[in-house]
Amino acid sequence: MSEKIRVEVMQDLEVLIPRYLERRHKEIEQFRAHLGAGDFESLRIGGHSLKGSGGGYGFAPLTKIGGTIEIAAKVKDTAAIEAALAEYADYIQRVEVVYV
Amino acid sequence: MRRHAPQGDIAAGGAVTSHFATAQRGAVLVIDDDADQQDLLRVQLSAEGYAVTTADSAEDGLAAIAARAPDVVILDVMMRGIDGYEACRRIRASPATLDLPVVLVTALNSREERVNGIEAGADDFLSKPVSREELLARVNSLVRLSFARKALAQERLQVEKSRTEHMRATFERYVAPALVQQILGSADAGSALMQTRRVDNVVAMFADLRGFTRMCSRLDVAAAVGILNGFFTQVVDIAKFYEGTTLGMAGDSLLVGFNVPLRQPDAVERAVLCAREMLARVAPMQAHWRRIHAVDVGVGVGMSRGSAIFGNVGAPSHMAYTLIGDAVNVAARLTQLARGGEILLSAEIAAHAPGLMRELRVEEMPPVSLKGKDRPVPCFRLADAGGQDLGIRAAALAARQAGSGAAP
Repeated sequence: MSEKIRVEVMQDLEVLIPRYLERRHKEIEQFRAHLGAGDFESLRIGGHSLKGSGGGYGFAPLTKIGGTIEIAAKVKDTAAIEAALAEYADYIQRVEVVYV
Repeated sequence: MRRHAPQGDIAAGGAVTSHFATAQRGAVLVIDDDADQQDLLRVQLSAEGYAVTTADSAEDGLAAIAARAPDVVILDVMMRGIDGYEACRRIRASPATLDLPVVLVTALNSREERVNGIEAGADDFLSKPVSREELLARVNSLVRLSFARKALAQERLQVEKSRTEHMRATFERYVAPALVQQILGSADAGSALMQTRRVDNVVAMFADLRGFTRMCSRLDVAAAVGILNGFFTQVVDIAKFYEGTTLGMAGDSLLVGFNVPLRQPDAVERAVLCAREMLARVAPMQAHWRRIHAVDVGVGVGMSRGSAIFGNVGAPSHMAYTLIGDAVNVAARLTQLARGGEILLSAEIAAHAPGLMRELRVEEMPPVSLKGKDRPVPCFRLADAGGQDLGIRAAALAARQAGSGAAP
């Protein structure tokens, strides 16, 4: 089993984090579906949104992954998107939130 | 649109206290169609005590602002439907919200988005992902600015209110209260009341207590002042009823102007009816003065119509709100010729309202020589000068309902 990624998040965001992470799980599946359908525009918008929210919640890697997906979707770089999605899924799988 | 208590999802039972606390801190409206972003900003701001309202679209946000403007708006740039720039432009376009602080949330380091935001009227920017410290620092600063603007606006409103009250108190000495109210409610209130200007078709009317000066030496001070006060109280009250402007009292004479400061198309009718009522109402007082003080006085009226200068005239240390011009001079001279109970009119007055003049039986008098005039001028006299019929006020009211309008 892969090592957990420990992330410290401020206590007052505890009311939001479970729902936020649940949305990310669903989003990974949506992104995969978009990629399968060649819907790069939805991937671009979704990547842009992830880029904007991730760091604010304390998940800085999600901002980076979202940015990668947004840029790759603009040029329809399927391989780059697949790699970013793999990284996204791995991160969400391993992330462990500690409230401080 | 949703309203949120501080601490995000706090139970409704705790909302009342929290709402009171946050009202002191400031109200923030977050407009963002991204639920994650909206949630994040809401919770972080609520935790600091701000009263947070959220809207899922620019359309909803603009409606919320129109209903009740917050202290600060946080507005995402990229939204479905109306985007952040357009929403910002609309906020700026409304007089009610043109100075409402707006923070645009843009992509990280997007110079183009910031330039567009400045052009749209944004006050400040936040980059995504939004840093909590930066968010709170900017909101705190803009809420302070918003409070300061509101305090300033309140202060200005108070100053304006005091100024209006001062104008009202000042001008109610001259003009009927209803007329002052009408003028103060108009867009050009300042110029209507304050500006000294030439006005055409002014009716100048003097009401003089004929015979009083001659009798005055026989009266003690209290009796003389009592008669004058009784006379002026009555005639000023009547002048105000007919919406004439009381422009001066000198000795035992009162000057009233019509068609100033507001236009009165029926100025002649008002002045004539006003003069008749003055005579009718002072008549019983004359009988009383005759009985108590053994003085024989009566009201004589003279009036004329023409162009005149109207407004504040005088020395910086002593100004008078008055009327100056040939119409005033002619009216004054006619008044000097009028006997008690007599109303004398210039030709301009007599020719102006032929129907009323026929009804009140205007008689042409022999031309009279007036001081300052090269040749004798036509003079007219109201035969039915002191009629006490109840139709006086009814006719006046009908004339009033015909309306007075803008400044002439």
